[in-house]
Amino acid sequence: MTRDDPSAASPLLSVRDLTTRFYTDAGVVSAVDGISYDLAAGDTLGIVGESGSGKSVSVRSIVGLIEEPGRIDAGTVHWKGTDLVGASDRDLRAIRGAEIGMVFQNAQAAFDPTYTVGEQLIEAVRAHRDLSKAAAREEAQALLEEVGIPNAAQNLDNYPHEYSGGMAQRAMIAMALAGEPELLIADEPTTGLDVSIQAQIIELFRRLVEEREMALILISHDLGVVSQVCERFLVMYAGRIAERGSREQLLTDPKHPYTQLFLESIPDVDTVDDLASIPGTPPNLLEPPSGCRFHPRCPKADRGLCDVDPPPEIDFEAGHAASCYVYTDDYDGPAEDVPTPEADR
Amino acid sequence: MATDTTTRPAVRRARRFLARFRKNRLAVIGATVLGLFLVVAIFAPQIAPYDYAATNVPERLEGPSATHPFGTDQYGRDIFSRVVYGARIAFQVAVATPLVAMLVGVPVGLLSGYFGGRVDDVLMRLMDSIFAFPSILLGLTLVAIFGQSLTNIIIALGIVFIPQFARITRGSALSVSKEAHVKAARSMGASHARILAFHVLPFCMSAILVQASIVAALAIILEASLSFLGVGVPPPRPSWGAILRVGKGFVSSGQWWYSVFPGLAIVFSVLGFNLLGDGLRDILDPRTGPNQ
Repeated sequence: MTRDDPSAASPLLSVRDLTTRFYTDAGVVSAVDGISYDLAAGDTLGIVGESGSGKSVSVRSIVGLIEEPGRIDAGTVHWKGTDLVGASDRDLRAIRGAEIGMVFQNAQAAFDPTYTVGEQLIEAVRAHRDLSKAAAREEAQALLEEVGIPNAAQNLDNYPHEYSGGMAQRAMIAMALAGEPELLIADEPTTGLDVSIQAQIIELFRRLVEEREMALILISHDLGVVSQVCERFLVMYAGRIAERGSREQLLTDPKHPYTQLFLESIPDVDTVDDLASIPGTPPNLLEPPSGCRFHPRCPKADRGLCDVDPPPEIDFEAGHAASCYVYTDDYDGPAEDVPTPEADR
Repeated sequence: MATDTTTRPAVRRARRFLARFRKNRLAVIGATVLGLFLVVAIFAPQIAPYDYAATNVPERLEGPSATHPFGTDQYGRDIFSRVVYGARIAFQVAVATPLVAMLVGVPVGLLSGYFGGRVDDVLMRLMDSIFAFPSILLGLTLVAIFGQSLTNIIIALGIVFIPQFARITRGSALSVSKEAHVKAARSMGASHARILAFHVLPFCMSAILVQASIVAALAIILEASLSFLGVGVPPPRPSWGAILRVGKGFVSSGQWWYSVFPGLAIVFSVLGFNLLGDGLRDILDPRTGPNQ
């Protein structure tokens, strides 16, 4: 059952068949549908995909932060050997912030506007470590310095709204580091920041991962962002893993048609006038397509095969696998009806 | 040095509040009026020229004069002294009633708004069932059950106002609970209790305080109403409503001062709390930032 990293005897994090559904008034939404992966200590994993592909839900499920009406319906999440699915709130709380730190998009909103950043950092430090107020303040200041905030001592006493977007994101990262986590989960940490700040934050992640020897899960819709930090990738589509592999494997030899189209749709200077896009829209997860969830938009879809059962995961070289029928013997080539934007309506 | 720097944000908050308070005319007027009443209530023995219960039949039903600024009642008791002592009762009711109501209403509202779902349904329907009774009727019934005394009136009125605090708190808690910083606090490993106390309640405080000043005003009116109906603070203690009740019988025979002065006392104290409440609402919104 070792999927990604055969060398890891006992991975830090082992997710198996994780399925999270939301029981909304409109119906059941399968946000995450049976995903599995492993993460060893110090690993850097990037999860990429469009909005609504289940990236965020998949990591929130790990630490039990799924809110009503969501529920983890199946699967296990083993963190250092213990299953976190169904763990008590008390046990999960002891892990959140301490062993697993989290960083979100829009860091400014992640701070309570009624307290200074320093007060909140000190609270976070003292929540996980037994320190005096003065020692916690020193630690908070050291954390701000570590994430590259200038004048850390003064900035401790500033309110979140007095921080710029980039500073707030750095402070949020400092907050996530307060418990000295072994795994940092960053959910779209650079979204909403301008490009030069994005690059600085990315650089910060790279440095922190190296210096602190912690594992990182970086979620982004932007492959460029993820590829600068992460060694390994998961490509998610409609709640399932489409393809997994190392950075080189995915960037130079993508196997899944979705990954291929995803890579082509990244703008670069030469193609600015003729930007490729994936036809169609992401599927409605209230009524997901049968078979491979990408088949309505897939240029290689084989009707009668791809739209029947979920595709098997095909292994290529070490750690590189894609869930696609194209690489099976049953595949007969694309069907006549080439997908159009209306195909999934 | 370390303690100095860690207390600074709190000091800054207090300074900012005072600066905003001073700039708000409504709040200042309300606070001034209430301040005057408070001084009167505290120093009632020094201010009142007569014992509020001392009868003096020869001087009965005299109009306002230098010796009796508010006139006298049918037993010759000095109405000014009675109104001054009445301020004590009014203020005890105005301060204690919101506190009693908040003690239950705020936790109910916090739990309801934060957890939502079934917890919310059960708690809010419970509050609705209290709300369903007209407040006078409920107050009347509760006083009848508990027995007539100042403490019992405060408890009864406190129960009457529980749903108001529960609803106000719930509304704020509901919207704050959806905000990113609450979710972030969860992801940092904070417990529900901690989040409610430190990251949800502060956002509800402005609404709660405004509500408290409004309830204080309503409590004065309701206590006066209960006294007017004869189930208020037992005589001879001079509740404004009780003076009004007896005084109304003398309005048609020309002794207007008997009921006008306690009436004015009710009007101004209620106005003071309402003005203060309106002012506080403008001042206390944590999201309006420091430059407002």
